Amino acid sequence: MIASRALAAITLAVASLLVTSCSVGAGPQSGGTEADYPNSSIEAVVPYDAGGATDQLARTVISGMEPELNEQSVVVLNESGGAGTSGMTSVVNSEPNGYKLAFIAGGPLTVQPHYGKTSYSYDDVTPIARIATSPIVLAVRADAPWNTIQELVADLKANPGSFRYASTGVGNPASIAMEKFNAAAGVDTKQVPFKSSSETVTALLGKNVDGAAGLPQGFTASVKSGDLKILANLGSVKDQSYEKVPTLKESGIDASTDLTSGIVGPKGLSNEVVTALADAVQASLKDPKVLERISSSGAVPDFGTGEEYAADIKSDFDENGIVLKELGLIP
Amino acid sequence: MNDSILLGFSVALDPMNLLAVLAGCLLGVVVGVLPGLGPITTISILLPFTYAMEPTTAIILLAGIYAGVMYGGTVTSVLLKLPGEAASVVTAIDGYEMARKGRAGPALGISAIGSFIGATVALIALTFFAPALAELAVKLGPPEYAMLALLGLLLIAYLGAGAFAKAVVAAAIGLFLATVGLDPISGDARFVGDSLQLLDGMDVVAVVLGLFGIGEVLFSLRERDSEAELVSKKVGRVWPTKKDLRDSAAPIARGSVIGTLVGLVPGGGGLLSSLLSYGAERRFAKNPEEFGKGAIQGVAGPETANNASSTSSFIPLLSLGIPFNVTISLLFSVLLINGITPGPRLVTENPDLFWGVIASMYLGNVVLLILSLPLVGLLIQILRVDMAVLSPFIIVLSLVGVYTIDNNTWNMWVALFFGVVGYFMRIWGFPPGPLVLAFILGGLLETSLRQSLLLGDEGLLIFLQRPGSLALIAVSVLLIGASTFSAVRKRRAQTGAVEESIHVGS
Repeated sequence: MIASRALAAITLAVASLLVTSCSVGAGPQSGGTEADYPNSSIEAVVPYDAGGATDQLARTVISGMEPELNEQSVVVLNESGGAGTSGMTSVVNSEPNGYKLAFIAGGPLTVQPHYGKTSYSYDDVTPIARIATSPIVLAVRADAPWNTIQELVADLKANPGSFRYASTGVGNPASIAMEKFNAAAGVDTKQVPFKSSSETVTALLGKNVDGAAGLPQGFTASVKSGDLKILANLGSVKDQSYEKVPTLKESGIDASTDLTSGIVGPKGLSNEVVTALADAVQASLKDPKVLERISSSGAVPDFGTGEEYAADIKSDFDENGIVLKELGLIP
Repeated sequence: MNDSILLGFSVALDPMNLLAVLAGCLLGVVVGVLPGLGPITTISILLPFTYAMEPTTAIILLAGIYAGVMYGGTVTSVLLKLPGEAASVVTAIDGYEMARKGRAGPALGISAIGSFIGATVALIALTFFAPALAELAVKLGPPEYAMLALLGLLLIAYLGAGAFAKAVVAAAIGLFLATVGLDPISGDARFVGDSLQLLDGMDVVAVVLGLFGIGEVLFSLRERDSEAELVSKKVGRVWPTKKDLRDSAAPIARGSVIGTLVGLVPGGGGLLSSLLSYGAERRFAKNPEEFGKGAIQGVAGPETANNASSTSSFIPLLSLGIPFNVTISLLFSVLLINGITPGPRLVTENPDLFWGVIASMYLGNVVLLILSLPLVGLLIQILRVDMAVLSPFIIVLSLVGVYTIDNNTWNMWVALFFGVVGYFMRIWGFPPGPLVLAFILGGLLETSLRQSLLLGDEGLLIFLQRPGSLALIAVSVLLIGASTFSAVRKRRAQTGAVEESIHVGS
């Protein structure tokens, strides 16, 4: 009995050690100067679930980055939670040594800080490189009466409030894109928020809603099979799979919403590290295999330097603030 | 059709693919046994390796893991009341009680058999009726989900032994917890205070492991000198008896159907199917009073259902290109990265992949049955281990498991918090089952009810206008009517008997 009590005590001690070590996490890498960066593996935080669009993009780009980074491995860590802010917070608070980075798609930096709950703001990071840009698109059933966005606008002006669209949540890029469209075209559409892009596609196929807004990737299968068609490109870039669909601006409606993905690190990263990583991203985006994989997801490879990406983040942050205010989500 | 299946088996029997089935199933069972570690964590760790494989081999491997986890999750539920993964939480109710009575072997055996049958039924549905079932999945909209959730909530009456009033209180708490986080329609933050983590609500795996696993450990420490000590020594027989098999036949049949259908509901998946099956079994049982005290029907049905649902969740993926749960969306991304878009045209564009994966799933099922039955005798030896050693292990494994949900310590605190809640619930006699059921269904009910209102112009008429939701309402009304009627009759019979005895007495 005494022996088993002692055993229990030991196991508990080991247990608590394990638990605390989890919370301490990986410390800064020891040794090495910035000149030989990187000299150990790099942790790439993806603040969303594995299997999602950003996760796929990150893993694809990383496969082409590793050869450029002294063959060091870049390990993806899916730290989801809090609409991407959980993983973002852990990167913002990490040592600015280039061994912990975040692969993000806007939201955690350009939307969430507006709610005032994050411990960081949009400029508490070092933007490293823009990787890709993806437009938000509006899909309808293939047998829908409209073939162009103008036809939909004309119909909506004749029958206000008759169009319900599925979004992936209020305040998400899809809903922001539609709000901007409504304002620019002077129409009124009704949003029905769902939890995931799969659910929006199901709702559209099942005739529960008249349209669905989201990233092109969610609609690819149903467009290929002839069940859905892309009615409008609410963004400014095009991939070959929907290049014939005009953007809103080409259709005379002054609005555009893209989702920009890129890499950021904690504030205070040295120029050497930023340049090394940005060069690796640029090299990766020249690999035909990487390009093909990105394109198959409907996003458009779109390299940008740290400064360019920083400018994107700032302008998205400002624009989103205006829309969120109009939606009544922030005061 | 015959040619296609033959093509499938020729692909599945390719040495690399065969190895993938075996490795996937084995790995899945191991991961399933570890509490909290589920298919999502395992598959995301393996993702980089799959990029180097043929897409067919990669999917076969991952599908094997998914099936294996569903099998393995049962083991610790039965032996330690620690759900190996979320879907096995129901098994922790009656399976664990069976183990306490020295019937751990039959409980594990019947789960293995039920899982095999359930998954096979769902596979047959996938092979022959995938397009029709996918069509059905698409026809169901928010009004049907809302009514399905409502029907599910009626099952609270059948979950957990003890006072009905306490079950209702537990369920009310579950419904409240489901509202924590972002409002699904307006996007407002509710009950989150300054916490960023709470924005997404609480993770069901952390809640379940806390309430059941950690709560049970704490409770057993309190009782360690009496009851718990006794349980851990009793191992008993390994195989189910003929009577066990007879008793389980109908639950397995019903579980197969329930699981196959629930797999078609977005976000439904394993846990919902096993909870629904448990409720249904208790409703149909001739011995409802046995439930919660070690009824084999309460193990056979839910275990069958969760394996059937994990298999049938492949239907929307393969025939529509729509992933309905996180695990399936991981498989989806593997296909996309390889330049294959799953969807209605997958069958014609990549027949070897489509049929190869299906054939390998048949093989995987057989592998799992062969793998798990002989293991039963070995696994139940865990019961011989002293609780003093086992308890800290369980807590550490659970915490590591919940850490992997999103690589963050937050969920460890959630699990510990619910461990304490679970401990007090047990002391005061509140069943945790209804809390978990209401927690899962609460989110589905709220979201789909409010979506329906948006679709129906803020009117309730939409629920009556759609045949699907109307049928579900009819079932709910019948269920309430039947229970009320039988309760009233029972009371009359009792008062009648009392009156008679008074007459005799005078």
